[in-house]
Amino acid sequence: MTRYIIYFAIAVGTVSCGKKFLEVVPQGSLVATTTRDYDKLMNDPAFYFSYGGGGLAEAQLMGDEVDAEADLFKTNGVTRPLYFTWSDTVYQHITQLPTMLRGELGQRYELNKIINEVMSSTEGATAQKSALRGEALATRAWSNFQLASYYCKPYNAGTAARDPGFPIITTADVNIAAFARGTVQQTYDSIIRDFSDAIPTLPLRQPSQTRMSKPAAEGLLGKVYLFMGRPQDALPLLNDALSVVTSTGAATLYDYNQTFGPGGSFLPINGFSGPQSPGQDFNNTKEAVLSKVFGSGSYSGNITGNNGLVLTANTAALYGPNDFRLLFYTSNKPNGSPNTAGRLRKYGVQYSRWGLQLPELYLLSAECKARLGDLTGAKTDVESLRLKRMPAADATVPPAIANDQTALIRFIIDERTREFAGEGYRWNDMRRLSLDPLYSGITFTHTMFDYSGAGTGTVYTLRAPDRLVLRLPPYIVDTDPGFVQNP
Amino acid sequence: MLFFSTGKFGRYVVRSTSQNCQTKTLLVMKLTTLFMLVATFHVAASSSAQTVTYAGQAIPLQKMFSIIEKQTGYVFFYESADLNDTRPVSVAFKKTPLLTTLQIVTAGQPLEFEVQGHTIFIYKKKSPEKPDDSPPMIDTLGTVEPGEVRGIVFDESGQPVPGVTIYARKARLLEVSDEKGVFAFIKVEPGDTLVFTSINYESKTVVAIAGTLMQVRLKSKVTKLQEVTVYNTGYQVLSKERATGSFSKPDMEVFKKRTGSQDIITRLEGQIPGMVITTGNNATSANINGNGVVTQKSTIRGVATVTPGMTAAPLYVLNGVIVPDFGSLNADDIADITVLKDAAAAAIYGARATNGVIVANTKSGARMQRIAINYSGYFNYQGKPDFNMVPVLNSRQYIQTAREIFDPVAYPYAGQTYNYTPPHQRILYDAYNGVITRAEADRKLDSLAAINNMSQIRSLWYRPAFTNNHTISASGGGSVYSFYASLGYTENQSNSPGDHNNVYKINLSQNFNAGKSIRFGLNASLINTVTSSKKPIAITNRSLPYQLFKDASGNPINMPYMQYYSDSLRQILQTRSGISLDYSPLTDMNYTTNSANLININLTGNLTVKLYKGLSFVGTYGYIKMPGTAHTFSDNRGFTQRQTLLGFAVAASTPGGTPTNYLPTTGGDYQTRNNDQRNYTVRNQLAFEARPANGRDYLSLQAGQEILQQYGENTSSTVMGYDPALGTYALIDYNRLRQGVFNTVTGYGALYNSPFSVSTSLSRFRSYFGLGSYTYNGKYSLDASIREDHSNLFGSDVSAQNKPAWSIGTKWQIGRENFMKPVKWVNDLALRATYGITGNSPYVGAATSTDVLYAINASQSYGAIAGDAFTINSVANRKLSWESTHTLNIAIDYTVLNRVISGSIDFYNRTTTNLLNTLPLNPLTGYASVPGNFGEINNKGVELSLLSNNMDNPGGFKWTTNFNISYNRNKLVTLSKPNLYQNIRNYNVGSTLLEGKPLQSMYAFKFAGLDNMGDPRIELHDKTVTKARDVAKSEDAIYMGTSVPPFSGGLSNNFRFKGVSLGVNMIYRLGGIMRRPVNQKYTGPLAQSANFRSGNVDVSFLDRWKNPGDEAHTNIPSYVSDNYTSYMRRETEYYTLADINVVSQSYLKIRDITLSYELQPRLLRTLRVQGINVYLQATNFLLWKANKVGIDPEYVEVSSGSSFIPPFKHSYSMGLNVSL
Repeated sequence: MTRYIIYFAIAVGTVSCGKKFLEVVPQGSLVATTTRDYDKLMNDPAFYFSYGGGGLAEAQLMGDEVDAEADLFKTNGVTRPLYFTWSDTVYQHITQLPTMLRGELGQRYELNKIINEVMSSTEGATAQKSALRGEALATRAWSNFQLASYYCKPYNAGTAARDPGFPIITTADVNIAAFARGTVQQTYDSIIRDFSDAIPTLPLRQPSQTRMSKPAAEGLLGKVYLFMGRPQDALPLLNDALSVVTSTGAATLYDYNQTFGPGGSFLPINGFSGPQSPGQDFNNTKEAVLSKVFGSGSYSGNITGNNGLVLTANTAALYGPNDFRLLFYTSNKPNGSPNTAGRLRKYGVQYSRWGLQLPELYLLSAECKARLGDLTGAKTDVESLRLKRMPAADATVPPAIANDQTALIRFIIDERTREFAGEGYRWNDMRRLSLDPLYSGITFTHTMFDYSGAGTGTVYTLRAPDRLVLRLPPYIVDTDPGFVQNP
Repeated sequence: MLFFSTGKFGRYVVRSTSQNCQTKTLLVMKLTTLFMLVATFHVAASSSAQTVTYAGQAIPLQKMFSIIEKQTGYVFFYESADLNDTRPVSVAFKKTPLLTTLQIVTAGQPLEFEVQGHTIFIYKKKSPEKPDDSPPMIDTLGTVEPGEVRGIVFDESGQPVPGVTIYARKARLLEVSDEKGVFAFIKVEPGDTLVFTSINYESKTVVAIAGTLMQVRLKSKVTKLQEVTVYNTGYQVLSKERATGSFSKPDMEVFKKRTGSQDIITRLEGQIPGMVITTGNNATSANINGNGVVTQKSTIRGVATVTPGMTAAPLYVLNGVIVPDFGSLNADDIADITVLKDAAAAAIYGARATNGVIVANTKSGARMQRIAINYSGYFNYQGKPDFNMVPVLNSRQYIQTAREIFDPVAYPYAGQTYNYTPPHQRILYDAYNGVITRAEADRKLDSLAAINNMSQIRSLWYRPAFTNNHTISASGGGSVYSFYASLGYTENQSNSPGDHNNVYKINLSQNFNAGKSIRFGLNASLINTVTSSKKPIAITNRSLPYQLFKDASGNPINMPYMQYYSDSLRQILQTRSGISLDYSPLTDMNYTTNSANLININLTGNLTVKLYKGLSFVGTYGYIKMPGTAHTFSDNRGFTQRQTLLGFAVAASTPGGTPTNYLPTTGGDYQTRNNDQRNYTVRNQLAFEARPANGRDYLSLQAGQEILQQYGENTSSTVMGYDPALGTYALIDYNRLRQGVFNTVTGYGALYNSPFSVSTSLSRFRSYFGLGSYTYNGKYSLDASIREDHSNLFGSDVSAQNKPAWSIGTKWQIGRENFMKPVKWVNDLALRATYGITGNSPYVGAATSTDVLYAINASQSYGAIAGDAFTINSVANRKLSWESTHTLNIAIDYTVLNRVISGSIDFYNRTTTNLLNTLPLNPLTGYASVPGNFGEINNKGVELSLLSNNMDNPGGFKWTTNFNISYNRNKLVTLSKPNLYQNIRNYNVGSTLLEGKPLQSMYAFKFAGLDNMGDPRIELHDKTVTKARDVAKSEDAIYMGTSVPPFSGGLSNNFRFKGVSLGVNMIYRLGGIMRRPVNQKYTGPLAQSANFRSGNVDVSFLDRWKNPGDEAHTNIPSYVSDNYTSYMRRETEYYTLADINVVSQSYLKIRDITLSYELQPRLLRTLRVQGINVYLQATNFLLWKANKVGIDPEYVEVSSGSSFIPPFKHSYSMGLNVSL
């Protein structure tokens, strides 16, 4: 008997669990191994949709195409007036990070992970892996360009090798303690290199416009070149991008003559939120070459929002009376009562696009052509957009402008404002125009009107050139003592 | 067999094994057994008597004993070898009294017997027999001087009794009898009385006789065996005299009667030196699956972890098995609790032992015990919350204040479209905008000022809370089987109207002896919690003071302003959507109903197999299952439901047309939630026990392996448009609604809820352990333990976990050394020293060694148009291990003054290294922080416990005092270097983690008065005075102390006279500081949020700075209506977090006071019951507090100063215990 008991005890006592016992992956979690896993990582909505914060939310407040109504503007958070008045210091509190910077840094880790790991993933074809790596590279380049437009001086070939850049982050490792800012030249070099490496690997069209395609990368690199003052390098890329996009039909323009016409899809116009356009629908990618959407409507704590922002009188005057784009504005206050001064606020766009929109691609192409002397080509491009935004009679560029290179460039840049006012695009234009001989002597002002309806207000002037660059938040500078703060 | 093992140690083993081996069986069997037993209890009880009836042939003595056991319920205790030389007995008894029976059967045998309680001890007769009747030789005592009182104390057998305390009442002198039982008083007048007291003998009072040798004979106390305290660690049972580690046990009498709470931990308060029960908000641990009662948080010997997700709570062990908490335990079923405090005590729990371990064991039946039935029940009444603790403005002050601070320029009416505008605010705007006249506005405001809603809040939204608890239990046992079974019922009525909470509890513990070598135990408990509730509003006295809920004729009042739409917008939305936006809370509360049915099944099995000589196999198998189902029905008529519907309503395209709605507007949402927890523990160990050196020494060795899994699962499903009467529901297009519906009346509607969701959590441990003890000569003990744990909590890198926990402990019984013999006033004295390492393991998913992805389902995530996706859930962090704590403990156990006073003093030094904390990262890496190991915390402390039997007059007045005090000094020795950005004042004033300071250290600004705008100013360390925001650096904040009181403890006094006893349990905490509640309103509209928990302000708002010059007599900053101006101009935290608002937290409370009455034996005999005890208890009396601002520190969040409303002022209980 005793012997059996001993056997039993030994049997029970040595019940050991296989090694697998501790190697369990929790439900809903997984570790990336296959190419398909990386493909899904590239699908992360964080890359293309920022519902609460992010995008050009800060730039929205800094563009000089808008003024503000103090009563509707000031009560929503304390950082908004600091951006609006181009204050030297916006963030004082320790761990505050501007929303776009926070979002981009978080995604940078993911992008670097894809770039560095996808080629050794399993199951996928090499071309597929290269394309995924290319998408991540191009997305990283795009992201660096956005960050440079806040924290680096506008690209100036003469000083770029000296101006402090934005650190080039290429590894996914949380334990790196220090980064170097490098120079603006290095930052732009890395942007161009990433795009250039990516372009040959990318497909002409992606199943979803949220994913980086070849024309998107080309269009964006073209934009970078143009903003660097290199239209000759930009044009071939933009030409190719436009022809691919139009031939594949990946993106097409809404014709406002139809959508606002009888029975049009943008109708009826809601008294509180405007036309039923993509401005209300963050899922709409019809005009997107590369779709990236951010919440640009009213303040909700996280996002800075467009509360209290109104078009400046000059901006409002850029629109012709029949321009359908005016329908995205109202002179009513949010409660429905009229703004007696008649100033317009953009109530029809709750969600703005900051990837690459087809209208911008036309305008980038037009501007390149105009700057390189192809005035006819430029006129065609800008009219391609205008014809979809207003009755044909109004769409034509007046001959006096169309035949004058400077006037045409200005007209195209104004067209950028007409298309994108109040959505943050103007900020980067202000930066590059400050170096553009065509615009020499340009100054930027903001008016904070005492209350909606008043004609009086306080005027703030941007302290150029320093405040065309945002200071890095103290969180970044203090963590990395080697960092040079912007002046 | 083990139970009747030989030698003295066998007695301890009896206790240990019976407590260690509890097991479980199938529920059906359990229930059947239980009900059968309950039904037969009465019969069984009355048939048991203390007489013996027997007639028959000669039988061996051993058999005779078992017959007597069966008939009387008494238990025999003997060494088998002693019966070897006995002869069979041939006797006949008929209702012969037990004592007579025993005399007859042992007559002529080489045996003697002794009855102690219900146990009969059989001893071999001593030989050669000593002459024990004669008093000792008195001639050796010398002559007695005249006037001197001298005497000798001896026992019934004539042996001198040393160590008896003798107290001369008039002379007030104290003496102790020496080794020969001799005592002497030089100056005691004749006629004085002497009181003789001793632990083992009954007290005696005699008149002092001078000049002649007194002879005092004391009677042994037969009622109690010298009590052997045992510590159950869950792995082994140790006698107190051998234990080297630091253990504490509560007074189970106090525990049993603390009916103010059903929580096990709360009932320990003030009883365990070094254990501090957390009070205030967030003081309870999450109760897994919501089964049972919540477990109060507690810390043992100071906090040694800094990570918010890491627990500082002790490990909970029930019947040897680790459990998530003690939430589902019937307090009446608990037999015994042991708290393990130092490394030698707790290291056997390895990676989770750092915060101490609380081991609870439930009751079990003893073998050879007649069936006993016990009832215990109580009713505890708490009443309604004590709103007076948080004073706010009354209606008149409120309206006056609202007028004063109304600012239509900073907050223009035009900007209020999407804001909350309460009635008073609306009136003020209307007057300002000229909609109504000033006079009209005044009249309206005056009428609001005249209304006080407090009585409606108290009567409509609160009701008295009480608890009603009953437990009936039975226990008993025979030679092969013993059991304990209980049935419990608890009714909890909360403060909240409409709540129901009933708990049904069954517990069955059984032990089987299968043959000689196998013992098997099963312990099974089932707790069923059935709850239901409605949705009354969460309201406090901080809501608008004038808003009534019911009008004069009893109709519910509509308050549609309780949302974020202006009146005009609301009208438009209602019209366009066809959905009413009215809101009357009294009606609305009935539109939501919740119900839940939760079950907690806990099974523990124990198996002991004797293998060879001292070697045995011990298996412990635990299984816990907690299935639960909950239902919520939210009727679409409810306010929040209607607000959701509004987001999905599309206005009619033609005026007067019918709006369309994407969601069903009838019925409601019906949600079913299922949760389950399945935990198992398998522990197999080999134990070896030996008694070398002819039984003088003792050796024990154990080694084993253990695996543990904790798996939790929650699923939830929801249908919409559910009709409870028909059971029908509507199918909706989730995919489309999830993506968002545009152009609804509110612009955009998105469905957030899912038709189905699931979440699971899994943690696993695999451990190996070993234990060893050696006691030499009964005087020197050595303990050692080692354990290695591996878990899945760190991802796959198990090698980082090769960090064994171990301990070593020694004990020296100095009191047993010969040189201590002459020191009569010391009865026992022992010195203990232990050292060891224990761990603290992080939570599931705290860190991983690879990037772990999280799946995003496209159709579930609105805006996810690109399709299914992954994102990074947690980033790779390979350098992670658990925290380890090195503990040194040095202690003294003492029993002195004739065993009147006993206790221990412990000194400890715990250093926790490899602290897990959020490691700040360079934000450019993409992450702000990851969990990492760094830093060190030290806890040093002293614990003193003292039990004193102050008075113990036989049959008369008894008074015992139980006192403990502990001091803990906590210091964060190192922490990761703070980043430079932390070198601003927020880091000190806002942080509780600072190198060189205790955890929860508190910093404050040095207040320098208000300036002439009413803005607070502070003095910086360079003596400059400023009010500028963000100028203060770390060094400008001054250290005030710690909000964790270093001193804490309890003082209990128990007075007993005949059957009446009075117990007063006090607790105290000393030396801590706290921020006092101050006004927090300095900007923004008076009422900003559409809820019933805010809107009113602290009454001190009235004393704020209003006009220049006020700074001379107030420190409360001015109110500046405009947020922006207020923010840019000043920093109001310079006042709210200023040194002048830091006060002492020290206090002393009577936690509870209990008056009980035990029915006296004569009455009991008449009633034919074993015992009846009734008691009354009242709780929570603040005796003393150090602060002068009228705050009970238990109702303040000490680090922020925010006060909260006590759920009750005092609670009162009435309880009854009956034993049959």
